[in-house]
Amino acid sequence: MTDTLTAVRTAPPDIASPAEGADSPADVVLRVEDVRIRNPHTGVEVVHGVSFELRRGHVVGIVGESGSGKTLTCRAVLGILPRLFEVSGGRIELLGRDVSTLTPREWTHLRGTSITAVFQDPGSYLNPSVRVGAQIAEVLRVKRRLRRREAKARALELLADVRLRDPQLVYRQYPHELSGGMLQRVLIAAAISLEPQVLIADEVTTALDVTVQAEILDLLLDLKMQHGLSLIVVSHDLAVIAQSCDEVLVLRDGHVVEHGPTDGILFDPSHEYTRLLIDEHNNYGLDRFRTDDAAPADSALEARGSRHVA
Amino acid sequence: MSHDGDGPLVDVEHLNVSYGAGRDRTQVIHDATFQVAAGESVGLIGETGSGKSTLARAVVGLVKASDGRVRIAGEDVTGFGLSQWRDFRRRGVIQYVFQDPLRALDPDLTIEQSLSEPLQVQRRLSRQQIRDRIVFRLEQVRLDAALLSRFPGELSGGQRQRVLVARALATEPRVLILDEPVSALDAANRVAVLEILNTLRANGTSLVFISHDLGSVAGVTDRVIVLYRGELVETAATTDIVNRPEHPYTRLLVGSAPTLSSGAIDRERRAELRRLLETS
Repeated sequence: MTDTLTAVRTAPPDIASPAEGADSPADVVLRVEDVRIRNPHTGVEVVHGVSFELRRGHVVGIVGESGSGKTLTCRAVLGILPRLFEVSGGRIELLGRDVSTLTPREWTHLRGTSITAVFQDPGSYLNPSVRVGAQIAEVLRVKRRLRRREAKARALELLADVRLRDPQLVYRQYPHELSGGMLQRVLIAAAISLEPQVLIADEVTTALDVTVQAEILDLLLDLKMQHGLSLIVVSHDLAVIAQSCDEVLVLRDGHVVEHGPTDGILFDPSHEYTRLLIDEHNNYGLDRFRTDDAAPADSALEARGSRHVA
Repeated sequence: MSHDGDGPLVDVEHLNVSYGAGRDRTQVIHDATFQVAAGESVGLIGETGSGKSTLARAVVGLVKASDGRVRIAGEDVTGFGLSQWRDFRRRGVIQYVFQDPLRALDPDLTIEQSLSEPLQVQRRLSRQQIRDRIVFRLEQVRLDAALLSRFPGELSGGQRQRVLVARALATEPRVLILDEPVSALDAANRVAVLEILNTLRANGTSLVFISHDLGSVAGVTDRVIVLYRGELVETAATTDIVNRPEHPYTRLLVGSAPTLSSGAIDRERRAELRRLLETS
């Protein structure tokens, strides 16, 4: 069974495999059907039926507040729901396989090699007392059975893949020596180290400065193009989703209140919560000020007249 | 009061701030000069570590400046000692709303006690007058007077942030400094707080917004000051900052900000701007 799962991988990671023309049902890497999540002790249902399909090389966005059920949905897909919760209905199919039939051992094999995730606070997913390079190499040694030297060479390649400027230096550094943006790149390098097909990015840019956020989003979209990765991008910020996703789900109190192509939802939202998010940008964000001719405003890079304050 | 109503409400000239001493001394604010006019709403925008909170704290005397001059409502506060600052703050001309709405409220005081405190220390109003005033302020931030007997832990994040705004307003300040006022809130509360602040702005209170995210507060500002590595690199009307940014960092910042429309600049240009910043 696991052989077929690994055989689904089409391209080695270094070869660009843009996911064009990926429309046959076989290209659905993840299918989530009416998934419900509840607390079995209290009987309270917290996610009330989430459905979507993720095709190879596509990006699905999930928008919602904390508590809307977006992270629980992701964790159900990863098979790592917190102890107090269980999938109480619906079906999750990963690479054509119903995940409810997976044994813990099969799950352990699938995580990392087929599906993986990166979360908001990268620092807390790294051991503070181990150099970051060794932490990536360890994954490769355990899961891929690489020798020490091979694992190090591959880890250095991965650090370069996520565009860390000096992979050799970063390899030797401890987590506390890296900025938030660099840590997030390290976590992404570790996440793609086993060449998964699905990457869940759950609020990965929330704690980062706006300029760093743009770079991390670029990186995720590059990985999608170069490695044929399929992405689930989770954010509380509709604009982040608007810039990175083909399709969006809006979650509110465990209900999907909106689902469709991103452009359609931005242009014609049907739920009041989505309208609130759009109005916020239009009334208080940069969208309020942007004039139509402003997009190419930064065409010239020569030094300009200065508005220095002093 | 010494302020004649014509000059800027906040007037900062050539302010320098350093942390540490001797060889560990790091200068975090370099020669900052800016003004906030009466009734003006200004965004002080910069990335993590750019010094925006330090600058705002230096203005209100919470951090000591090594050099430069600060005048608030015409009064030179530069050389103020602790007791002078205490007396000045009690007058409540300028108020500061801190970033973390949970930690900024004493967990052992009821909302009524927290809101009454700045007025009690002024010793100008009777108990009943104080109560009337804080009920009025609560209404202004759209909270029910029933919350007065509650403790901070019993309030949601959005309610706590509004209590902080109400407390800052209790002394009828002319300037309100807000450090990341909406970044910890959900969408409905963000919009509610921004609407409240817009009403204050329309009523003539000067506002200073400190934020790392121009996009979250742009709509409530008239003007933006951009801070980069401890220096004020650009100031202009918000619409000019958004549509015609000049300094490379401002261009990178505006060009990186996600919007619903596709206004962001492409990555090659961002990379060029970054190189430009590193070489300058």
